[in-house]
Amino acid sequence: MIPAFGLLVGVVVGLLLHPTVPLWLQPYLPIAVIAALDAVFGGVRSVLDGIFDDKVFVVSFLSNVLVAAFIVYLGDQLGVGSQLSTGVVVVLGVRIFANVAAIRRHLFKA
Amino acid sequence: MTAQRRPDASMSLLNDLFERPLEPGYAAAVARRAAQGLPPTSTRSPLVVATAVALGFLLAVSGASLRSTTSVVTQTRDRLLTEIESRQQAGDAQAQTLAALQREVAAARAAALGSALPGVVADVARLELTGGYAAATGPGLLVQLNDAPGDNAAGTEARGGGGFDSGRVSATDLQIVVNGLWAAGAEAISVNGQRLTSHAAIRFAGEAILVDFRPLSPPYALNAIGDPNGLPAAFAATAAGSYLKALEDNYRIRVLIETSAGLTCPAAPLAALHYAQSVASGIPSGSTATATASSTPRATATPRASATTTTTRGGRP
Repeated sequence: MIPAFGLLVGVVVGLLLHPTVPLWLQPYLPIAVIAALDAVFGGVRSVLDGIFDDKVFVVSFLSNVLVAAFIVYLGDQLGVGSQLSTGVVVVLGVRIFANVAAIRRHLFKA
Repeated sequence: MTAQRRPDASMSLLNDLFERPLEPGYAAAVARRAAQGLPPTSTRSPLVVATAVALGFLLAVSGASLRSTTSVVTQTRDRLLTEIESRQQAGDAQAQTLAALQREVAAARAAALGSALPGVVADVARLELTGGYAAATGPGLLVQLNDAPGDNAAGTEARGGGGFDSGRVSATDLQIVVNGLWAAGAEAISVNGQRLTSHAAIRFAGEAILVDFRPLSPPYALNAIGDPNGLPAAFAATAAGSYLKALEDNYRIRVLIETSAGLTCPAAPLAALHYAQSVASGIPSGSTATATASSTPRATATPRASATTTTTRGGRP
């Protein structure tokens, strides 16, 4: 419950501060969000599986975001930015779906 | 797993993705902690809470900024607009400074020459007025042009070759009207407060009309100082008069023509001539700085004055 509260605090702070994201950073935001969501659903599932570990959660969150940003950057440099972004979204999307399915099985036994 | 080959072994990538989506690190970390005899970590550790705050921040910021990424164009446009406005304000301030300095120069010149050469001061004032570098006031004709009301659905095709919508006033229209006004005997013309001089061009850049390099927006008000009795009839008789009538009738461009007893044409900023030199005539050249300075406007203004009078005679019915 406390992490959920922290999430809410972060959202409120982000909405209140409303920082302007520099233009060069904007292509990385969507992928970063997807990567972060993947880490979050992985964390929630591990909580439900009873194998949560804070260090793994934080490290996977950070590394997911950084690796996703790096892939987009690399793709931009190679001229295949949109294709690599699509690939990242597909892989992370599949993982998110699978994790959400596992969470659903835990919660609703269905 | 079975020893024999699975039928879907060729799809191992997808299988891996679907069957082991969780970070394998979770199980390993828990096992390691269990081996060390430590309890599993709680979800309330400061690390997790801090990450949750960071995640919420990331979500909110990207949500806000990505939603407005669709309007990057408008953002850039707004920035350009503010820049244009600030530049225009700076330009206006410079123009005001310039006008004040010119008044100062005129006052100093009058003070210096007034006693010795009163005729020169009067000459300069007259030439400045003729050339458009002094504000002029007097009776005359007010011609106002405005774009057709609403979307001109009847004629969206471009009129002429300018690429303008037919319902919009183009730079060519203004040129024709101004030429008609000169031909009808106007002595001073200003468009939306921009005095027309021998340097002022009416042209268009993109979709904006520039007069003397200043962008104008509709309605376009042309102040033409001249004979209040003869000017309207003379203007109506010119080709510009019938052109304006055709614009009004065919393209619903709003035209307003009325005589006025007190029109004002502001002064144009004095243009510095870098290359043009006066042809040596009656005035001895190179005697003093003031003599050359006063002879320079004479060189530009005199042909204009004579041209105006000849066209006046030609334009009058």
